Amino acid sequence: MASVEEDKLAELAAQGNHKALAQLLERLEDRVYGVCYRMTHHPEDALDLAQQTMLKVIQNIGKFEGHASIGTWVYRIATNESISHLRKQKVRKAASLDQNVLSAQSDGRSASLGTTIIDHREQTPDQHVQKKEAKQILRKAMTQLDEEHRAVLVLRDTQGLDYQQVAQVLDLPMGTVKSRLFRARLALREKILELEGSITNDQPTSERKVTS
Amino acid sequence: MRQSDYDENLILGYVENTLSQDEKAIFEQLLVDDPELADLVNMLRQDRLLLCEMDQVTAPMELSEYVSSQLERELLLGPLPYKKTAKYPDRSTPQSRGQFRIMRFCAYGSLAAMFLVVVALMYHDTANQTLMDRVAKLDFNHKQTRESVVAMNRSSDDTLDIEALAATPILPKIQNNAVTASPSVTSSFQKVPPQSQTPSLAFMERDEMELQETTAESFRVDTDAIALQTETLIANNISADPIPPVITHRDLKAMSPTTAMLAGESAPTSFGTSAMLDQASADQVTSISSAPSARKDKTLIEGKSFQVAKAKEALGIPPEAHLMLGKKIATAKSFPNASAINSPLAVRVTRRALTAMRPKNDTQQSLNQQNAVCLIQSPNPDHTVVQINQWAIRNRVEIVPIPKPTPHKTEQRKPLHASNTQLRQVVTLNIQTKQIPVLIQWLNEHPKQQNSWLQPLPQSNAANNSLQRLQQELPLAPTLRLNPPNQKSQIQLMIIPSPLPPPSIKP
Repeated sequence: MASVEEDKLAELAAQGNHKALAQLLERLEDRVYGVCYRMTHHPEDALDLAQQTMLKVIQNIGKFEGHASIGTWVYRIATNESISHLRKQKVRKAASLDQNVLSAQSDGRSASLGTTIIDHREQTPDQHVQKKEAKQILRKAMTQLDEEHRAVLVLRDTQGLDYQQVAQVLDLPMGTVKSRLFRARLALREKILELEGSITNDQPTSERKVTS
Repeated sequence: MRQSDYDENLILGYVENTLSQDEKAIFEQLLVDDPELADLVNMLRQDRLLLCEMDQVTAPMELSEYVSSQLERELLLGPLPYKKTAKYPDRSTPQSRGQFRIMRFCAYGSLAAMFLVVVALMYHDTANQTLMDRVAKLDFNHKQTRESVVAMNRSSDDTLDIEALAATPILPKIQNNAVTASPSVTSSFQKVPPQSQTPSLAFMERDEMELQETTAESFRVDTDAIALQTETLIANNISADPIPPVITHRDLKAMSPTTAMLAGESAPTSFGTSAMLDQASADQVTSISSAPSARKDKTLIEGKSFQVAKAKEALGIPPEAHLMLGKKIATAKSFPNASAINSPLAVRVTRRALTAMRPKNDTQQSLNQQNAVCLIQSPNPDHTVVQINQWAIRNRVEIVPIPKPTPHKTEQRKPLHASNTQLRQVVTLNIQTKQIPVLIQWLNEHPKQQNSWLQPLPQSNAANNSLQRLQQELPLAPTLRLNPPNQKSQIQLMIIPSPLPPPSIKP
């Protein structure tokens, strides 16, 4: 239903209706920013990428022909922008909050806001804490994945696109998307195991920190 | 059983819960049989659940403001310009710095390659320079040489005389642009080695055209040619008509002073006949050229008179005419004081006309008596001059430069008269003795022109049979001198227009 409305708005916007374009962008901006953030795990980079994506949508809305949904089209722009950004910054060590947390835990040094938040949340029940820790590890593992694996996981799991939409966004065949998705899940699992293993080895130090 | 032993689509479908109930049951049975696979699938499902449960991210306000501002801008200013991000290399990381270094090396390498290619091409061009290229390089000097040759041919020795004659009131002004040829051109010609005159066909054709154009532009007055032509005409008329023509003062003005003087001094110029015309003209010119040294010429004329008398006897012309001519020419130095002779063949010229002339500047003096002189009667003298120049260059025969004449400042010059457009031109060749037969043969190859040798030709002492044969073919070369084959001697080729056909005689 929402997709149908977005397609109508996109049609009007392609005809030069600025009001429809404004409404369309307002609907899409959260998803665009979400994709950029999940891809980069960096708020400022995500904002820049989202702005670039929105600018391209505004500039090229007249070229939208409606072969796919407007959401898929915008996802495609955002994903491509994010992948390009990640490739440029592939080796750059972005100092994100999650990195600080994990590095602090691995190094045995407590620092920054992340550690403080975790310390506070550790006072919640164990299951909740484990889930939060698992999410942190998952985010960290996501940042260590390749751009292609990360994109397919983000589009499929966090944005909830089906195989066909993912194939349209990434411009890949359906079988390739499935294969790449399976391999991305295995790669993510391996990264998580690596991160969990490193954390487990350093567990006494972190426990001392938490108790103290 | 390992994970690779199963279908990945089946595992993915089970993780993402896209399998049908039957497929799901079958796969769960497999999971029961394989606990490792079951652990892996469980972990994958947990990871997917965690990803799906990730907090939904909301866009910050900056993004909304940015979108609004961009929309307003587009609404106000029209379509947004496509913003191209700058493709400057990012040097913040070691990899990017390495890429920049690679690009820099590539740029330097390409520059070096281009430089090497340019150097190689230059070397290749220099090494493979053909003979034609070298000839083309010599083209400039050669061109100068040819131009200087043309200029020098026009500014012959007798140009001084011509200028002096042109300054007289009865002659129009001489266009002697070629006379004022700069000495630098002459010097450049003298500096050019003979090797630089290597001919090529295209070069010769081009030079021929240039020479024709140049000669057409400045046609020089040559009073000698008029004199000789007039004499020949007179001879022709006499041979055709027994009644001597009477040249009026008006007609004499159109002639050169030489002719006028000859007419006034020794009117009987009637020894030419159709059979012996060339020889007679040659004798006459020889006599005229010897005017400055009367004693020597007198001897020469006496030597020649026998032959001329023989010819006239055969033709029925009284020998007195020739004797009278010889007598008067022998006293050519006293032209101004000479008086007309009452002869049936004499041309009546008034004293007033004679006193207006300048006999000292007669161009007969320009003929070097020690050199061989060939009188060439050509229907197109300019073309003949061009051909002679071409032949000289082709055979590496030096064309003797002619010194720059001294201008006559005090004398006024008048424009040329239309009747004085057919002139004589002299080409002096500094030719080796062994090349003379070649020149003679070449000159005889032109059927339209008549060649008359006025001075003895030098002969090689190398028993040159061809020269002897040519001598037989050229009876007008009376005596031959013996010179070494490589010794150079000067030959003057005097080109004059062909005589006009005799006027029709009405019975």
